[in-house]
Amino acid sequence: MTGLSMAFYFAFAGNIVGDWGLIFGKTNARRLLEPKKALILLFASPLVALFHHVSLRFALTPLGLEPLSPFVFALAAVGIFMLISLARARLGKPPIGEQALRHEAPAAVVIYACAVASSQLSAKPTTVMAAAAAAAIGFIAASSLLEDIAARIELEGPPEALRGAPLRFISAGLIALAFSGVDIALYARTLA
Amino acid sequence: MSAVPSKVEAGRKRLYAAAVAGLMPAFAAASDFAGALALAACFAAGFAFASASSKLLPKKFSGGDSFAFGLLAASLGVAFALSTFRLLAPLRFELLYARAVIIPFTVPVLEAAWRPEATRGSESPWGASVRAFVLSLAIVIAGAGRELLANGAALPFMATPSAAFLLVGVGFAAWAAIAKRLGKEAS
Repeated sequence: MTGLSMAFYFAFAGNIVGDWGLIFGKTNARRLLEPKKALILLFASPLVALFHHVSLRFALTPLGLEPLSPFVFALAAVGIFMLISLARARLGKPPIGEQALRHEAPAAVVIYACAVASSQLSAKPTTVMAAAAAAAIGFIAASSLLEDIAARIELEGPPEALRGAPLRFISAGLIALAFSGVDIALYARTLA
Repeated sequence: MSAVPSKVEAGRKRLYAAAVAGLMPAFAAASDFAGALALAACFAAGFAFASASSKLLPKKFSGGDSFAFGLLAASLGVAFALSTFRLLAPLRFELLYARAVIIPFTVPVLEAAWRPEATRGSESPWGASVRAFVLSLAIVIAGAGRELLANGAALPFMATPSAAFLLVGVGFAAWAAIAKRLGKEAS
């Protein structure tokens, strides 16, 4: 599978929202859709995918230690957090607060899901990186679409029991159903 | 006096709603009973390790350090569960591996990794155990329900991840409608 076809696959069918069930509440979704956060997601995903791919292919799989993959990712995330904390201390900036850490933590699952999803479909590092970037774009696009649909439906005055989370989930389900239709119609046969 | 318990109750409900939303990757991946059981075991292991780590770590560690330990403990817990699962059912492990490895980074496990005083709602060891059990049970029920519905001719799409969203959405709506009706009857 070429990098281009994988990019199309993740943006239109193997979407992280629809296929992997990654959905956030209104506050977290809006935070992730801010341009700065979206850019970080877009650049971090290929790098994490490369790290995941290399560690899995050249260290964990030969030793039969694939289940330790989340531990390696967590270790890397904690290491980066400690480096940022050290750099902030050197620059005389205040340490990262618990509240800020709590707000940023949900983004980690999206980045890791992009990495795992993309490294499953190819053995070439460059293709994996392109696919991870496409997966991040697909996630941002699908989340943005979901936010717009939820806001539009709220204007229609839906029944009280459906307002908020239920409508968000049902809308996400319908989007995911459309994505899986595209997947079956265009990509599943190519991948098989 | 009655306002305080009702606030605690509301906090617990919000905690459960956020946890169910955060567990959507497990709900989406659990399309049958056996797979759901394996994912629920991974979640329970990750949650237990994260919760124990955040509660047992000495107070001299900062909140950020405690969270980092909790995250590492959760990922080790899931790794142990996955290794056991691999020995028991290697073929199914290959199918579910990619979805199970993201469980330590889902919202309910991350919440369990925080210090008890930094989290909302009840965070006693008993409360955390009940929450872990209820959420694991929810994954198993969702998986078994989807398998049952997908086997019929009417709803074959129940095996796709989209069905998990629809089921959770309808479940939330039914819960809200029942709670509203019960509230009206009580008043």
